[in-house]
Amino acid sequence: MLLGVFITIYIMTLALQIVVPYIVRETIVFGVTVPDQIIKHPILAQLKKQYVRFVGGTGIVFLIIMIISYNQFAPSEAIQSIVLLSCLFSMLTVSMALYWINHQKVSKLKKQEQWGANIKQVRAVDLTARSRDEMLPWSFFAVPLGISVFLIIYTYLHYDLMPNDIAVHWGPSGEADAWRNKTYFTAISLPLVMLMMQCMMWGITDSIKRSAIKLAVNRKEESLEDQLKTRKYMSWQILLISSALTALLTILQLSNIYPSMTVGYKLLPVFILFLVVLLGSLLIYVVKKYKHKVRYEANIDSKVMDVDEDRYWKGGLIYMNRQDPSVFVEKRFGVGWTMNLANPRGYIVIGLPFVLLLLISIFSL
Amino acid sequence: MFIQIEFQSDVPIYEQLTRQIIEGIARGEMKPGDTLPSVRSLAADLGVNMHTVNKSYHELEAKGIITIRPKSGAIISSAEARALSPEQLRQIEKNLKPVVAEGMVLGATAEQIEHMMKKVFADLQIPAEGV
Repeated sequence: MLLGVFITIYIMTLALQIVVPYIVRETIVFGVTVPDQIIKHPILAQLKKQYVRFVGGTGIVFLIIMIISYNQFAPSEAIQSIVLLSCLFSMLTVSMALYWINHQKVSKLKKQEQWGANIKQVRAVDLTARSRDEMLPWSFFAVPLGISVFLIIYTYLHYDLMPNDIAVHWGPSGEADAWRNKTYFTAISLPLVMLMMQCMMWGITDSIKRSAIKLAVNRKEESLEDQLKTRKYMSWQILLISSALTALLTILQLSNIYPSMTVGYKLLPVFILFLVVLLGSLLIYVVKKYKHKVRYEANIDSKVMDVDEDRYWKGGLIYMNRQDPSVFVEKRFGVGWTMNLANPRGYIVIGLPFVLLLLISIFSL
Repeated sequence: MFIQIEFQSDVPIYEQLTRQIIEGIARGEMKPGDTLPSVRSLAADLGVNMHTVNKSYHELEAKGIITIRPKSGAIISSAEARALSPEQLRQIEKNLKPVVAEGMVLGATAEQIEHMMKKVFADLQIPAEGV
């Protein structure tokens, strides 16, 4: 069971690592801005192909190691878990290392050949883009919050019914494996965790909504379409995760009030369903993202290019730009969004609920 | 309607923004009654400070091209609302003066400048792509 779940996660992660160079914008290669005018530089395609082969190859080797050694350490579940995790992290380390090497290579080449040195950099904006934005309104994200509040009230109404030991941790098979004494705080720690996570997701969506709709200056219409779709799917995705999390934690909390729910492996399907929803929605997002990507058939013949923001990206991974009012920007290497670490608003939206989450965990779990 | 901002230009960003919005309206890409994006979201999309966008919007309002309403945002005024006043005409003449003077000094004739004016006018009436 553990191996099955883990192999699924491993393969999904590996697949994601492999396709990353082909999902991100074509004008960003291994975290380096490439002007549209030399986008078909032969080296770039070659590096991407090399990356896929190497990460794919080593990924399969680690998968084989994982399966073999899992059976070797059969009696000890603790060692098995360590083996599984270390294989996953080794694979991730290899792909990160290769990303880093390629990032350096492309940066060096860019400097040597002076890419875009004589091309005017401009930022394009569509004044009507905002009226076409289809991100879900905030009210959708308030519904899960209401459920948490209701659950807290419900728990206190049934406080006497709850057993003296409250489950706070569940193993991979859906059985509770850690308990705490019942107090007015531990009784609602689960809905509180839920509340914080929902606030975080709400904050993330709201911040993405306020963040820039970035156009590619030489492919304005298509890139606008891509941006609007990305934002729409992202808000759906976050709502789905928020709802799935709400459903899962609500069931767990109810099982604390009515312990008969956990007898046997009744909770196992719930955990599996949660995982399927999470991974499935990610997969759909990646496919959609790939479908809407702006494609280049050849080098673009134009006197302008997008603003080169490389200097704000540390290592092509961490974004810090004081001038940019956006809290979230799309990742340059990977799927999804990353925070503008120079924008204090981000720390409030993500940091505050996160710190509260930690505090709740420390004091109750 | 698309606009393009050049960060390294000698022309300040708010000025580029004002000019391009005016040009967009002149071309008919934006019509009276259309709303401009909120200051906050346009600043985010451009990646500039909110004050920059604010300055441009206030300049447009001072020129009588848009009206800023507290809740509904910046709306492009209709042709009736922005009926040309003698004072606005004087302002345009004032802005034109240094350009014409430069032409004169360099030896451009009145006919040449007149022809240029007509050409600019005609250009703006053909919806063109970009700037």
